[in-house]
Amino acid sequence: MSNQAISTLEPVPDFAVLAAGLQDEFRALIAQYEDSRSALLPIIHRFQEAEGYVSPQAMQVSAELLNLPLAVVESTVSFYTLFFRKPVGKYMLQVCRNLSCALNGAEEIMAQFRERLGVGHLETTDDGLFSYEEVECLAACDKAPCMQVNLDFVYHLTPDLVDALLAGIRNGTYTDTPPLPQRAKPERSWHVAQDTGKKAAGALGVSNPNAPGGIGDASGRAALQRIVDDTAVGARTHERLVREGQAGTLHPGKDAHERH
Amino acid sequence: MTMASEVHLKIDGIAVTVPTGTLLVEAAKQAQKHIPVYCYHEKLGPAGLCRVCLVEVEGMPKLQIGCNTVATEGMVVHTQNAKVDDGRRAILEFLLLNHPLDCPICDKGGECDLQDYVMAYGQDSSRVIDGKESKPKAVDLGPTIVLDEERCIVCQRCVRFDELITHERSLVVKDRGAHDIIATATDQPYVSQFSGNVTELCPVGALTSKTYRFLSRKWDNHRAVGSCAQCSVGCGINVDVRQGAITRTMSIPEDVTSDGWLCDRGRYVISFGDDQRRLRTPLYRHREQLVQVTWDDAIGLWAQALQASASPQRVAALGGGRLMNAEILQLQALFRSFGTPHLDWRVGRSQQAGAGRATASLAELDRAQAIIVVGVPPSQSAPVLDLAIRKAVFRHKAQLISVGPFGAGSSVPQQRAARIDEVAGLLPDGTERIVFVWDGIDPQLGREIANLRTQWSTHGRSAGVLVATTLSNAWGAEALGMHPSFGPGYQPLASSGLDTAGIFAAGRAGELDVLSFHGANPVLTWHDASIVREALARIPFVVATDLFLTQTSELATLVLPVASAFERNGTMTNLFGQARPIEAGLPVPDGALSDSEVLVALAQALKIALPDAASLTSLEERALEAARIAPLDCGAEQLAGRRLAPDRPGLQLALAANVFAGGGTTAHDTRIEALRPLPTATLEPATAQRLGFVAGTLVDLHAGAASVKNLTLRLDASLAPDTIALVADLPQAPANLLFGSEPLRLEATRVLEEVAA
Repeated sequence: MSNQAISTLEPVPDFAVLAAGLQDEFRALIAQYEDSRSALLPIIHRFQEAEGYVSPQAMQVSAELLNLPLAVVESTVSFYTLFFRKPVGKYMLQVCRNLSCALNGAEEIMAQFRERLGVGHLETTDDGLFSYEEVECLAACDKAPCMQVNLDFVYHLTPDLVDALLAGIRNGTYTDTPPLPQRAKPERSWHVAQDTGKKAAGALGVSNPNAPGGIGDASGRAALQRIVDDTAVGARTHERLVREGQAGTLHPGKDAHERH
Repeated sequence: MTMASEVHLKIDGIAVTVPTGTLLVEAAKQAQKHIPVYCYHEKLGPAGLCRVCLVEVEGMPKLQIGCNTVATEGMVVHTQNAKVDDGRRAILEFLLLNHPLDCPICDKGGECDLQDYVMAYGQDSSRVIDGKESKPKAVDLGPTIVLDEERCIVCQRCVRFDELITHERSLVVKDRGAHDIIATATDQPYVSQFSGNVTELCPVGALTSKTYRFLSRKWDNHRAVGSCAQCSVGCGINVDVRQGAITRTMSIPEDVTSDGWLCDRGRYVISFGDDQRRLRTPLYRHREQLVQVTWDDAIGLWAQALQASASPQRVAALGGGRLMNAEILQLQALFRSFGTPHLDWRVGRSQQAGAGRATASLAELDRAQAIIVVGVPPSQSAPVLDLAIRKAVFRHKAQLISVGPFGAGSSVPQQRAARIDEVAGLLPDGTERIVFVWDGIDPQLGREIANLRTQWSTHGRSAGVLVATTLSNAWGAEALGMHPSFGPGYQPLASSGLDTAGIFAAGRAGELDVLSFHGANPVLTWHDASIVREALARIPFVVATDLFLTQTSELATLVLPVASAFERNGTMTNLFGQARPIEAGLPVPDGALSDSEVLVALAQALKIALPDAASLTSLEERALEAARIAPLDCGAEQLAGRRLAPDRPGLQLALAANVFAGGGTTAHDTRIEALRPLPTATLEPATAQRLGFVAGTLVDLHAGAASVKNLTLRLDASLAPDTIALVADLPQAPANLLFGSEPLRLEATRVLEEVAA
């Protein structure tokens, strides 16, 4: 595997240097809008372009620049899947799991990504090259199934296209989208836990819904496996999967097999 | 085409006429039809988030949301039919998708809109076969609030309260879709003086008060409806009591004075009455020890001391600012009948409580073009008044000017003036309606306000005045005769008695035999602690009526346990000059008496006739009426020309207020530990840099031989330069030890490790 993409990256400057260098650009951005708050998204985008993700310092500086409470900035950033709140790989792969794409085979595409990358929802490959996320509607339903690579669209996904895309990025021939800058190798999970660190322990069942395999991880193989394994709905789902020729890839649960 | 001012429409067949622009949810109230709502709130407006208010509007293909659809001419609306019911049922099923249905252990059970509407409009079973979203159940949002993220339906009432009412914007929604939660900025707790209101706004059991969690069910609470007696605003409150203890206080949404909000002091300082340290029997000092005596003996000893005094001129009484109006009238009647002229309510820093006919109304404050906050801002002393100021500033674009060392609340845009005479220059031309909000502390400032008003009145400017303090019935005490120069209703007396300063001076000179404090703690609150202590040491018989052994009552000869404001009925006069009803939620505890009963017993022992209940009521009415037309500076007459504090070279001392300071109720309420202010000294950053201090340093502050120790240094850019601010009335760091003209000396004792590292 060639690591060309990694070796061609430029180092990310220290945050203070970076923020100072962007001041003029930000001032011009703010001046464009009647309400300075409107400049929040462009400013956050600019920080992400420069750092590869939106760091806590970037949110703090944005809040100060626009005279907004930090909570408001964090709220805005957390709403969008196009902002990454933890260091991620150089290529962010975001596959749509919403209705139109699901009807057009997104489940298969997602299963393929998970298998080829060896990671799940909200995880980064060990070499730090790819981060993977299953996202809600990307607003390209007419070209479903679709995804974004570093926020650039790739349409009409097929299993072959997935393999070609990954190979192209790995050997450096994929040039449609530049890689994200990277200060250091990211951790495997880039899920941002809810801010309960300083807070009281929960009474019951505190879990992390976004964690891979968690209840919020509804689209991938794990979720399908859960449905297939469920004795109540397993039969119906398995029937459909057999009809569509996908049952083999999903290893239906033992009970479901026996019933057929 | 001109817009009609009214529109006519039919709601469920009932014809209604409403002003143009009325929302369907409000119009339906006129037809006596109920439209369920979660995100909509009268004071927060529509948000269109929850969709439970669906109604059918004829001619519109889909169901419409009643909260954000404006009534138009000829509209035909159905709030109840098969289509609407179906829509609502679907919305409720959706809201319950991830709801834990843990009603049996939920504090909201029995008063929960989700529970009620699902019973009324929902279905009785779920079609969901998947597991529910699991989220943290007890997130510690801040010192007062716990969030159950699973119960939350993300109506955002709390977020909008924080944005539209307090303008603090510390609560937000984070994440998206099924994962979204109410949150603060990372690692920042939800800290607000008004935090408790979100628990009342929350239509489900997501936001709960730490003080009320798992404490009671709605139907087990008995409710007393009255007013809060914890500052001079007098907000309407419901006091909920279960098994002889207050479980919570709640706001009254229709209450005009508070606009339906409560501050955290009014909401959370409720448990002091049950404290172990509460006095349950009279105490008499015998051989330097306070020993228990019976009430008969206690009253007898007091009467004996009064009768043994060589002259009523050698007797004085102080306090009254925490008593009921009727009790104040009894108090002054008793001592004036006895012959003593030395009565004063001023035992803290406040020197004037009423503004007479200059008093602004709440409506005038709301409509003011400019609000001028002079001295300690109401954000520190009377928080709900600050909400009214924020409303005027943000909603009606009033200009806010703060005069003095403190700003008027950090979340509000304002102009700063060092002195009152700078204010006129900051007001734009055409500013006609002005309201002063003054702390009543420095009589010099009071005179300047009065002068400015007179000057402005010839230029067509009208300026109202509000005097805001933490003392709940200061104006009542002043207007009803606890004043050395006035009887009830500011009636001038033939000869004036000594005021508080004079009483302490006389006490120190050995000229007083008996001094009684009525709900007063001047050792902690009078601006000079040393003179109070010296006076108490010289006066042979000192009486204190109090709930606890405070800094003052522990030095008294006779301590009489009395009832709190939660334990007796009556009225108090708020800063608008209104008599606010106080309702007893609890009985007077065994062993204690109300102040009124104490005074009646003393009067009997002295064979003095006190006015009866009927004449007290009419006297109160007449006196308050006279107070409302009295001149602005009536209460301050005695103090003309006197400076409160001598000039001090160098660093100036500024005393901030805090509603959780004090040595009485707040100090004895164990459930508000996290809200009580820490001993801090605050400097403006440039001043701190010049003096060579960094934030987090542990400092001692000295003036001459006196010192206040172990203050944590904080920096605040809104503080005036060359000023050091301490919180007044703090038992562990009494700032009134530093009174005087000697220069202040700041000494670092230790730099806190985390700051130094």
